[in-house]
Amino acid sequence: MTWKMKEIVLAVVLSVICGVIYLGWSTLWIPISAVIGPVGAGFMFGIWVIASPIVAYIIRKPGAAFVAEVTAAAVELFTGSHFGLAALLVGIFQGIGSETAFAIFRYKRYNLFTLMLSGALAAVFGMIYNLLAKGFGYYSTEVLLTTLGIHIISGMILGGWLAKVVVDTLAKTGVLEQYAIMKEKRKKEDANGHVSGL
Amino acid sequence: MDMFLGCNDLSVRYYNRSEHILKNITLSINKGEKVLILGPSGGGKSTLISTLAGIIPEYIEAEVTGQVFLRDNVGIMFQDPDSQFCMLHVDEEIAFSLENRSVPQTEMDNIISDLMNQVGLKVDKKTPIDTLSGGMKQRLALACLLALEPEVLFFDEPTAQLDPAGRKEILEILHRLSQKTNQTMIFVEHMLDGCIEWMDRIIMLNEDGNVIGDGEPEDIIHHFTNEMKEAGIWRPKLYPSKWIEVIENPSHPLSIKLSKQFKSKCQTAMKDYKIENPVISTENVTIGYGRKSIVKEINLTIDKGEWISIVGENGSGKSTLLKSLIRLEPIKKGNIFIHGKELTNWSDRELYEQVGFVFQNPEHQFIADTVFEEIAFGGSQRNWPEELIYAKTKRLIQEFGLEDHENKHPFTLSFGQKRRLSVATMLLFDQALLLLDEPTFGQDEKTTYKLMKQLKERQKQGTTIIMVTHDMDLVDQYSDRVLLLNKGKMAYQGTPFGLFSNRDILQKTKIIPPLHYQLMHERREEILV
Amino acid sequence: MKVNHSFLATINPSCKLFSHVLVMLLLMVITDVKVTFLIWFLAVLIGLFLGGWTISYLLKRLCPFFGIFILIFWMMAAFGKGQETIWQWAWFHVTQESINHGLTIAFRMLAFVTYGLLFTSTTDLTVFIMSLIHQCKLSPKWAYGLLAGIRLIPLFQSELNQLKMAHKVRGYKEKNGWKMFLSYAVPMFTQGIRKSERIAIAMEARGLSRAKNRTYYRTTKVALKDGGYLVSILAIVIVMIIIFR
Repeated sequence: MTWKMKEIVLAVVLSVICGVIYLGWSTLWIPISAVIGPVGAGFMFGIWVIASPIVAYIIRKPGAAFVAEVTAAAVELFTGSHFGLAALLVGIFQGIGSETAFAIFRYKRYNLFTLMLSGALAAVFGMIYNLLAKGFGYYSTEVLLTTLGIHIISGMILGGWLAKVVVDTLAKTGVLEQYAIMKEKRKKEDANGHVSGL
Repeated sequence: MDMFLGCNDLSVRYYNRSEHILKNITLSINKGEKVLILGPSGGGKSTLISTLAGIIPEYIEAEVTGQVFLRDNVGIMFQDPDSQFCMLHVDEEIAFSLENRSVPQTEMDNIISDLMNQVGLKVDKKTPIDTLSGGMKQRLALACLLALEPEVLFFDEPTAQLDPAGRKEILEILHRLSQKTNQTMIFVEHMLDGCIEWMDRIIMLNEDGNVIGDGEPEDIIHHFTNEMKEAGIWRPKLYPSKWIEVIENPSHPLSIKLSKQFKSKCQTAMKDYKIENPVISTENVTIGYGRKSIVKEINLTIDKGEWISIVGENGSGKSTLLKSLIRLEPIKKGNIFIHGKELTNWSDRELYEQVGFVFQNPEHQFIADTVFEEIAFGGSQRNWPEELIYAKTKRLIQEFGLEDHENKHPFTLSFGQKRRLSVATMLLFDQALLLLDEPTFGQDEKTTYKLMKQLKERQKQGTTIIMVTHDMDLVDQYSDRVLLLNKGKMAYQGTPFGLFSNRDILQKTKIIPPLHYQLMHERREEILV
Repeated sequence: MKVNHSFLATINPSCKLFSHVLVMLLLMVITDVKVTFLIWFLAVLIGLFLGGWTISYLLKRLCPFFGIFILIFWMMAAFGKGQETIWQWAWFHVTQESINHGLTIAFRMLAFVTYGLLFTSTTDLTVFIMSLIHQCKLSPKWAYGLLAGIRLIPLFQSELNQLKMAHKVRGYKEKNGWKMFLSYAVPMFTQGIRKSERIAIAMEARGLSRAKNRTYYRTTKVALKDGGYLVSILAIVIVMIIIFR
């Protein structure tokens, strides 16, 4: 499955927009996390992994989820965010997590379940990075597990579910007609139309 | 059949639509011909040139039937200056075209310099593309196309997103190029001034995607006046008359018409105005960030029910000034008063019930899922009773001609409808003051005048209107007063008549007045000579 | 990413990225405060002597990160594991161990940031992407697609500001996080999708996919000094680890 240029640029542009929004989200996050600690701030985690499910849901190709998260993370690098190269590393971990969700189903299922799974796995892989780099292992086990739990839930809702809401809204505005998501929908409708026609 | 470029019984349909966008089109375009394709928006003009350029169905998927005769080497220029580049600097961007043609690296530098000269792009090679003006970006886009050494050049509304100065610039370069190289050129445009004069042929499409006219420009203009008007095409103000004839022959029909227009303007200019009930006034306002000032020392007073236009070159601070009037830009020095109360003393909620602001991009303002909810938004937020919301919203929907689209998602509307919706959303509270940032930018003739008519109605009911625009005809026709900004400073404040008849200011600020003023200036010069 | 004229700016970007990422990976396995501090300090020295940084530039760029440094330290110190309690209040629990861990992690993050800054302040974006083509065998389609998207970052940032203004004027305030996201994301994505489609078509129309044996205006190579940079930076870090362990 080769990528068309249209799909490449779309994936990059959508990820870049996510990256720009992430930056805005970061400024919200810092003051909150200082007061309620890593656990509470975790509720906002999901937004940071939304690029993957959005792009994968539209383009439906192997690699889409991974590329999206890494590119979105790279925006933080290019604009000189607080996290520099570190953001790129996080992006790689989360991207692998998201990608896994779609790979498990051999890139054949793109529905609410796989999108939420992608958010959840991004949370899990993000936590692996946190353990390795940010010393999350030093927190007590309860804190660690609660944080992970909250990240997973947040990833499923703010990552997976919200991604579906966003893309479905976009589909309604008619801008996605040239991409896999609408093509598959049309194919299905055609098939159904054919069956009912018989 | 041996054809240079064209199609035979061509029909095109996008997969998401049941109807064809182009139907049974047969065309043959000769080498060296300059062809202009006209038609209503959404009527398949772009589809036609994209098909002839080989983009459909190769890169945009669609069902294409019939024969198409393509050239191998073509270039196509699009309307949005910001979305045809992929590199950061001028030289790299031109090089991208050369790389695709496998030109050896050692030759690239010379070719790039040559091309930059050819299109009059007089900047450093390493200039970041972001810092170029819209007109300069389109010059660069042209250089990138010429780097492909194309046999045919296609232009898909290349000036639709430029201001009049940028537009003039680009069309002049293209005209010169066409004379020098006899390049085959195919245009889609919705504004005819500046290009129709040198076209060989016009192809006219209708709404259903059929060719209804194909011939010499003069004939087509003559025969299809109504169709063009209906399609919202900005018809030429001069063509097919020649300027020199209009000046020299006072009995030329256009000459008579312009003289009449000028005289009636003279009369209106005699009325002097008195400010009785100021809605907004500023005292020595300077706007900017940090040490930089974008707009300096502005003093103005605007009366209730006035229509004010703000004009000036790109980057002169027009939008900044407009935004500062409702606290969207930081004021460094001076004061702004609305209804006599200092701007800083207004709460957000009160302020925006008094002042509406229409952004340049209507989509930025949309927050609801349907047109109805979009207009009703402010009312439901203020817990108005259902009946009141319903009545007010319905009235606005009707006023702005959106009855058939009430339940549509705002993003799915046409460009003209989006603009009208964005104005309607700002009138739910019957705001006393309406600020508009280039409301007619990129709009066609029909939607422009429709909007102007609706604004005029509002003005009659007492709404004060302040609008930033580049369109001097609108300034002349609609505004009571005009503010001219030049490099952040107020260069003129007064009637449009006063501005357009002042040759010194016009020349200094590069403003091109409407034709009847131009005629007046020419005549005056003649008398002097 | 804006480039200066230092020695570091002449190092091949892919090679530089690889070196810095390697150091960062090493940092992940180092749990000693002193060594972590030294590796961070190495980055500062490189910046000052090879990266063309001035002291004032360094302070200006790193100052905002010290806030984060304190934050990370505080989170780790107040919420981390440990036995030797120093201070306790409400849900905060500070211990000897947690302070130690807090310092390590805070210096590690500071080092991440500094190595990142070392990269961004000395690397030209176009050259970086070109070196991804030449050294990392990234396909030109992806490389140019990436650049096309990156050049839109400022545009989208100003778009986001416009949206904020427009929401203000309309009196739209959303406490609900996901609705707020939606109100920004939908207009930006719609605009972005349209733009991306036009850009892709413009690039194709200029012959991107038809190119056979494409030539390059700018090429990047790996020279001896690039390898030298990689080897020396790694050697210094490893020596530090061995000596101070």
